[in-house]
Amino acid sequence: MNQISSVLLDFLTLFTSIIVEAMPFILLGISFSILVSLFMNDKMVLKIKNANPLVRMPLIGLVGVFMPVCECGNVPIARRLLQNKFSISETTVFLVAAPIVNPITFISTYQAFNFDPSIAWLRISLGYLMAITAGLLFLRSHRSKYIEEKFENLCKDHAHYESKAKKAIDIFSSEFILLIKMLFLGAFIASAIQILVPREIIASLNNNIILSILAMMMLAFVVSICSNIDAFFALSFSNIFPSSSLLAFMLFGPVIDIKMLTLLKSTFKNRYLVKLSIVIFVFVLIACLGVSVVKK
Amino acid sequence: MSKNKEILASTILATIFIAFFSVLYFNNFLGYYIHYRYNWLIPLSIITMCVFVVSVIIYFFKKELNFKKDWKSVISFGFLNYFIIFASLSLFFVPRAPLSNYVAEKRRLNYSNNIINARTETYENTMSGTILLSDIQSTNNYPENVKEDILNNYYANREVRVKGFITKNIEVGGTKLYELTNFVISCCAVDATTVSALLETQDSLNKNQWLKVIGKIKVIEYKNSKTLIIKADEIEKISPPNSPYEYPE
Repeated sequence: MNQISSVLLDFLTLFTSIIVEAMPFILLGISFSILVSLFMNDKMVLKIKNANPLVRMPLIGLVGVFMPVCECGNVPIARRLLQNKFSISETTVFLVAAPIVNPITFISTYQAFNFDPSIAWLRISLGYLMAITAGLLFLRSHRSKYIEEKFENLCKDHAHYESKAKKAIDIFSSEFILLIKMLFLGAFIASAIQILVPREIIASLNNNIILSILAMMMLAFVVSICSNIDAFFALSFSNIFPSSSLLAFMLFGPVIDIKMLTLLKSTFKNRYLVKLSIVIFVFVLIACLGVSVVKK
Repeated sequence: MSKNKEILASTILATIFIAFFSVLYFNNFLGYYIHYRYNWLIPLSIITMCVFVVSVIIYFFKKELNFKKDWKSVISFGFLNYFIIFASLSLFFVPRAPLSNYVAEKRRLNYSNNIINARTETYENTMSGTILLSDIQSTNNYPENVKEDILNNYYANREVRVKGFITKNIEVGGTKLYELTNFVISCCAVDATTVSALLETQDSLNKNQWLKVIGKIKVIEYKNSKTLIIKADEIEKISPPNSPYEYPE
């Protein structure tokens, strides 16, 4: 009985912890999304859309530099980009790059790994390359194939608002209620898995480079920790895992984890989530194996 | 769901979260969930949600939002919206407690010695610094990385003031020792990692009991290597504190 109550209490503490940690970033993301919606008019969107795609995509990959929120905060912004008729490919570049290619993530990684600054540089450059690669793989994708019908209908709905404040209230309420639902679901699954799976199972896979990279990706998926700070968490594994595996944790986690996938489900169909997960998984595995060979 | 109903549902939800975050912030409960360096994000969230709620109220009184019909058909909020509202309300009734022995066992790992390297450098520069359970554990985990003179000059007989809870008791060379455990968190409770050190005391202690310990570091031979333990001078049995974990800078 005692055991059951402490399991339940720990579950609730972890669940609340995810909500408390993620909520500020979601609210920040919604606020950015409202600003984009209020101040980015059709002319500006058209100007961006008419730019050379070879320039446009790399530039979108750098948007995170000016919006340093973690991955959950990027979901409402990505939804706003899609509503402003940006393509799946461009939105994917933003979603993958923004949590990694941003100043806060870079500084925290640099601080955590100050004994080996190359890790921070590798993270930011590989993260950027990963975003462009993922974007290119979605280049010819049709929106209807990957976007939830409900959200697509919302994109087509051009309501007229008497004032900017009314529009802001509308955007806030629809984004807030939807993302909170997804956050609750993600937090529930992530805390249940954390309660059930001992970390030493993951840590015991450190005797082989491929296994250790897979183990750290699995850990990133389960832990669902914010990208702005995950470097400090990865640091505590620096004696158990090689730096290439820590890099795998810091590249995979910001894009693919339980909390992020449930938040993305608010907008994208399952086939998008599966394709994105496979692309990121393969990229991180190959890139980190390459790093392990070079950094030997 | 109609736009008005959506605004009504999210206003209720935002109000619940304003109240919930205020309870956590003003009663100093945030330490159970997040590293104190992120506490400032909570008032920021409260302000953001307040701006939304106040705007809705203003528009309601300006009669630009009309909830009358929606109040009557509140039943059609939908199951999921009701579920989220009730789940958010239930957060108020969850007992505020730090992670326990159960999670500690699931998260037992060898904590990185990069922390200890950084801390001994600090020591050499300043001859000061508080010793944490994570310092003791990382030194014990990686004795090959710590020179004997550091054990003797830096650690032996240094005063420690730590808090934690008892996870087990063992006997080494006829002396009864307890394992004092806590968590280190870098962001939130989700990333909590278990740290522990052995505690020598004459007191009788129970599992899961939270303690505040003042003592001195002692170097003993344990499992064929030099091991740091805490010899307690003063032990205070406490309820779980509001900032229960170790929060590295």
